Amino acid sequence: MTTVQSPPPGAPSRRPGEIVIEALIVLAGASTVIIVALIFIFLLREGINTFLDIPLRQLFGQRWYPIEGYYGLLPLLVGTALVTVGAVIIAVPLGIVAAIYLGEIAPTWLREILKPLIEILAGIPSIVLGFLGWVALAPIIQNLGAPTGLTAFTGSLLLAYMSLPTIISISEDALYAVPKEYRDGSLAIGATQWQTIWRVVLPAARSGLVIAVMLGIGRVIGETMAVLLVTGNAANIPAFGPGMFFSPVRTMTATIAAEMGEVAQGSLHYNVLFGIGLILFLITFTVNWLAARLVGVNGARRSRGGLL
Amino acid sequence: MQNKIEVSDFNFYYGNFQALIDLNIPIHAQQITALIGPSGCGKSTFLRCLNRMNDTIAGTRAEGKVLLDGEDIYAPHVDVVALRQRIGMVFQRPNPFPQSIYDNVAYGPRVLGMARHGSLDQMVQNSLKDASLWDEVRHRLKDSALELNPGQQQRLCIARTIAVQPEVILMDEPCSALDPVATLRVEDLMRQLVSNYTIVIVTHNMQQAARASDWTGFFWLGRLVEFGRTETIFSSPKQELTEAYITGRRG
Repeated sequence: MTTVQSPPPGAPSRRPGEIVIEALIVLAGASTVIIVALIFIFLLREGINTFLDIPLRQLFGQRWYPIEGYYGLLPLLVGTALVTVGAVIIAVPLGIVAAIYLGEIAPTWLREILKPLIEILAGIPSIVLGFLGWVALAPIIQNLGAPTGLTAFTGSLLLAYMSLPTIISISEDALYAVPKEYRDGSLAIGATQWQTIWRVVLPAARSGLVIAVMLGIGRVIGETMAVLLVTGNAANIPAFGPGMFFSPVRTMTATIAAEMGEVAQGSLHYNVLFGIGLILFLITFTVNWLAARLVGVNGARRSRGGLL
Repeated sequence: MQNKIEVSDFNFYYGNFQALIDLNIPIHAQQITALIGPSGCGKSTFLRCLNRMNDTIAGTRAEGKVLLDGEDIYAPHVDVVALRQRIGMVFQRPNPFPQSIYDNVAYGPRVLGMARHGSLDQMVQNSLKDASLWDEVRHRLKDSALELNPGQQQRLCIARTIAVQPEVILMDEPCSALDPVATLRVEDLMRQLVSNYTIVIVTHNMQQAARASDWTGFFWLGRLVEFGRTETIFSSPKQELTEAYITGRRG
């Protein structure tokens, strides 16, 4: 505990209770850092063999068939990419438009009903949504003409739905942080409300909106149970083209969840699953780091100027 | 003298609170009208009624007439967006958009579809010149407006306002965030602009009203206590309350 300094002369001496509380707070803060570090070390220890034992060429091969010793991660990476890109394409416009409606257009009474509802949406367990997707959504997709209802697109829809609360609520915060003076200035010139939103409010909130999107992506990449249920669990690479969204795929997360129960501990297969976890960890870490950097840029810009 | 705006029997409410009571005020064309009075007396509220900016606040209600060139701006068929193009506004705190200097001034002409390619540059230049800011920013038009000092920011906001060629400019304590030198520059600017525009300014600063305006209205608790020529109001006010406020005994 180096943070505790001796009180300056003349100041009342520190009470013992306060020292204890401060120690607890420091411990709580430090524990999160330590736990993250431990998780990373554990993942590294269990997963590092993936990258040492399997030649890179095979690791990025096209066949994922662990029983016969094929550990090509490409189908899983493509699966995750397809599902994520699809979800982002659906969720980002929808989420930002919903935030604009909530923050700029909806009357106060309606906003006070909608906001808590959106936050409840965020609390629905993903397995429940996955189940709904399997029972209700998949048949609809199949009726639309896909060979099966369990496709990347089905997963994208579900994940878009799951990331919407995050995107909406952070976007709305970003819009809320735009000073009212900007809107007044624009309206007073004779701009319409829509012009004001499009040309002044959205650009001013840009970095906050980017963060909302980043955190939404983070949520999508890491999600497991829902995609496990609805994406069809086929570890193959669909033919390139728009149709690939309507093919069954399997994501990295779903692979870990589906196979972890069956592998022998310490086997290469086991190590590879941890290797996949390590890759996921690095991806989400990168996304969060990017988001944090953008917040930092934003903060620096605020302190430089803005309204007086 | 012609009245640009004629306010008659005007009342204004925030919910159940009546903020403005039975106002009758003439705003003379191409003159500067100053509105003075203590905080909360309704002078800013009144100013925001003149371009219906108070419409953006929920639960407000206006009664009576505000005639702009003889037409009631509170009539049902009035297009508020078009109205605000005719009656521009400069705010208490400089509020340039977080965009370049050029884009700030070009904003109005762009959204109103006034500019056709080549002429936009000319419009921006003219507006900045009219706001006596051109010489300071001509080489940095692409820089962020937020890098200007507060006095420059406020003159940029004036340039942004006159870029859409309004008829009336409303100024809500435009110098309250500025230092004395920047304040004097804005006052000089007002004197230049008034040959083309009608200006209404709300101010806390009595000297500013005396220095810069042609007409002065004194507000007290939502009522207009006295209105007249600025020299008359400051040299021989008719109401005791006006005299008490101007000399600093009340307020």
